[in-house]
Amino acid sequence: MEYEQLTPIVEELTKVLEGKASREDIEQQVSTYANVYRIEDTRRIRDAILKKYGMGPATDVSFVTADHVQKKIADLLGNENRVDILAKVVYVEKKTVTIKGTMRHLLSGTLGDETGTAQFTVWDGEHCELEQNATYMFKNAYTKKWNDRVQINIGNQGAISKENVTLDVSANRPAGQVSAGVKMKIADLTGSEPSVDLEVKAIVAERKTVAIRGESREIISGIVGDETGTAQFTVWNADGVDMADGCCYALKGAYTKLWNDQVQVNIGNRGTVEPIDKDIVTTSAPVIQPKPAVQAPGEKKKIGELTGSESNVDILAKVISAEKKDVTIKGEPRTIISGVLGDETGSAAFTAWEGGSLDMETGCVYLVSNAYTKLWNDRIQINLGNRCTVTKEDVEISAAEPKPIAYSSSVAKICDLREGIGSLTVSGKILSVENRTINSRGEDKQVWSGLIADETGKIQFSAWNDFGLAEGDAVRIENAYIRGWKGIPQLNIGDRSAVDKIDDTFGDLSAAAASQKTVGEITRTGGGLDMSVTGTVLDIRAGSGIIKRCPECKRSILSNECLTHGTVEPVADLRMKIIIDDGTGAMGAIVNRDVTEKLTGISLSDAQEYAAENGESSVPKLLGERILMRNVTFRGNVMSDEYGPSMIVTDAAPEDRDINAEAEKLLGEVQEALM
Amino acid sequence: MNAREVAFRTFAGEIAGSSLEIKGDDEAAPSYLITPLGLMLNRVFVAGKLTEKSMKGTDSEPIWNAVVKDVTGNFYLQAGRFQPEAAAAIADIDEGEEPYVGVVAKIRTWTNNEDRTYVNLRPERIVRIDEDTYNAWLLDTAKDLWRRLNLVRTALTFPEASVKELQEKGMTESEADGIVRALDHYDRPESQRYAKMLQSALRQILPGKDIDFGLPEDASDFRDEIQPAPQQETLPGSDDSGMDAFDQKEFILGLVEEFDTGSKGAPRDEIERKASEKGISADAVETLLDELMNEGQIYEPNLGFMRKI
Repeated sequence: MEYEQLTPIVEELTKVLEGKASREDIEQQVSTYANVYRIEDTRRIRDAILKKYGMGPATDVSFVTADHVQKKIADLLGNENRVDILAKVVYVEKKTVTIKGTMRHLLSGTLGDETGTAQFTVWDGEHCELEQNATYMFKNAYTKKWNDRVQINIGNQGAISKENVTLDVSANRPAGQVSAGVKMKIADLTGSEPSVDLEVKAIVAERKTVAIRGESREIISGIVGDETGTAQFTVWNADGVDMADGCCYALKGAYTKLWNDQVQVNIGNRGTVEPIDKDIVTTSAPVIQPKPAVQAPGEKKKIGELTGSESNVDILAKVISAEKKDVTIKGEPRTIISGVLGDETGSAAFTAWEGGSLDMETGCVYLVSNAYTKLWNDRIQINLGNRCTVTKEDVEISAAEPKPIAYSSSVAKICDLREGIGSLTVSGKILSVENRTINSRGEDKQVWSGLIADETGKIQFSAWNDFGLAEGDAVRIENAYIRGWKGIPQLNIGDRSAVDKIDDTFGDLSAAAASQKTVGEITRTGGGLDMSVTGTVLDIRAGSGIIKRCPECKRSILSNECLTHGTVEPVADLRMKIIIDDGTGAMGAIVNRDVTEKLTGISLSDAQEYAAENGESSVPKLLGERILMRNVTFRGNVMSDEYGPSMIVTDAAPEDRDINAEAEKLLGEVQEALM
Repeated sequence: MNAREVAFRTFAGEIAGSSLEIKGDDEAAPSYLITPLGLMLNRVFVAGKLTEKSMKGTDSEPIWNAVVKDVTGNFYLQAGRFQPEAAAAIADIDEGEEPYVGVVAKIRTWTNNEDRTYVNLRPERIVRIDEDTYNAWLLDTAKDLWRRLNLVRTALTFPEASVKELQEKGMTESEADGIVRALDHYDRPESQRYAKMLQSALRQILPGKDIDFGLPEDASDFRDEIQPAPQQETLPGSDDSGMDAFDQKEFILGLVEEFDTGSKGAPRDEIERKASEKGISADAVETLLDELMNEGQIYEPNLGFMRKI
């Protein structure tokens, strides 16, 4: 682990253990835990060291170090690791987002104190109740910067307590404004300024109430102008702001965006609107096209390489289809061309926004320079804006017709799926599916769950909407995410996913081989269904041999007492608990009676006879003699926890190996390298 | 990770010549012996012919020594009172026939005042194997040695590379870590020495073939820099269980199962007694029982009695 990651723990521990341990001691111990024991979780390291000094693990959320820094919002820099903030909740809303495949519930909004305001997020805040306009002490928060704005974060180390204080929030001095915006003229705006100051006249200013994310907000929008041009604008929080047609204002800390190739001026939390006494003479020119900023030559890419976030790219492609359309954008009639461009690596939809003057013929090849790309429903869209130049090229391209629209989400094979992946595309055949109603947080929800497989493996899936899945269907699922259960990845198909039926090229998957992995790979990627591992049986553990089971629930029991069923007549069974080690890792495995009999040649009755003569505890030794040090291929479902992976074995067979052939191969390699 | 330590397959020749040790602080923390090729050894899986066994100590506390010989050198085994199954197995096997055995063991090292390092193997499991199984072990060990030689060769071409940089070249973190430490501590490894091991192994597996890598046939083939601690009854540090955290916990859980007669549960003091026979202290037993309870693996149906869930 990097030194920088360890320093905060060392700091914390040094403070807490002051007098009990020196900083050098602590550094050494932390280093040992991190680098020798390889403990990744810094909290575990901290807890373990605290325990050594007789201090319990810090599970209490209010565990804070001795010194605490409290800051005013205006003083926040965006790099604080732990800071206390006393602030009023100006605005708050609940949100659910999916991050790295996991659903997280957040509270987010705006906090304010007398020095300014800033956006905040409470992570995993589903049990947190924050009242708008109430004041709270946010302890142990951390700050980050985003788009030059300070964001306050309350994570699981943070604590929130209500305070009986009234704060006068200054809406006009938001935090994080390190420098005033750049003074510019409208004609020079490019649409990517994060902080700009303008002196403008409000040509048209309309106050509106709109619904944003389900909440009513008051905004002001319209057109502003100066002597160089005009642009559309929006003030996102109209509280305390008044703009009248024909009056002039100084806009400070505004940010600009491009929308349909037009510069939009935005006043957000950080921006301010102040009336000024100047008179600004505006041109009568209509809403102006932004001056093309100095463009670096666009990077040349093939369609297959596009990610959907290029702002400046050159593409040489053939027009597979194109249509001129007359549309209305923001009340203005525009002519656009939309269609599909293709090259030998793929195809993607395109839109040329200045279609009136452009000519793009189907079948012809064009070089589009300075285009930009976006994602829409996870599909790449190529945009030809007014910065873009289109030149006809006299070359031939055989566009990859059979290849479908270039997708952005990564395509994965089932054997590669593991916890934490989100936004993935996978194709497979539905092996089984059933519909259930489950109750989640007081709500009845329908879920369609079952098994899906491709040629590399199987995985359980849960679909939260009815996608019309049926057994035997071959489907492609886009934008799915993985959640894990005991280390076994499960495929989740949710609201943002798309399911398409595809041609069944999978064949009979029921006989498909299990996915082959080494123990080391499983340890790294987590468990899975129907996996195959080949290794040496290096140990046979307690719990092996003849065991008793409750006839009702099949749990293993001692004597004749079952926890659930009381006194029962136990049923004898045979099993082995072994360790499989293949040199890359060690995995536990539970081998049932059938497979035990198969591998060792000892049946339950054999074992019982042996036990009658030599005692039950001699059975594991007997089994050990037959199984230890043997190379065996095991098949089964693998679960994973912090102690490593473990397999429930469904079948096993001695490794099929040609020692001579392998040895000859190694010999050849070594000889070649040495000679 | 608290997972069980993987058992690396190594030749005796690679262990010989190893003198770099990293030790953990905590009782249950693992320590590693780092070979000149960067292999971080804690648990090993080795095989060979069992030769020379002897018993020292008393009848009640026997110490069994045994030598297991592979094609590259000797492994020195020592099983004491905390390894009863292994000691019994050694006692049972007749070394006269020089049978092949497979051994899963923990590495135990000791450096004396003159900085001489002794490496012993403390067997956890030792069983007789047939020649085919031995050959399979030779082959797997040789293949891995060859793979790691190539990793070291790669690392040598980037002398100042960090662990991360080596990982980018395809090594796992522990492989890269071990190699960086080894190259730092030891002299540049002589590839001839290891090529010799491969040659010997392949000669054993493929007796019909004429295998000659053109290496100098040196009389001092097996330079045994490591010898068993002479005249030592027991190595210092051998009065602990030799079990790492994972093993200890499994063992305690096993005891709970074993001593639970079905009425009240498994008595704590019985568990402590049996555990102390294995070198696990009463404090450690208490900690482990607590952890098992926190994990939901056992509970206390009656005060002082444990039961598996």
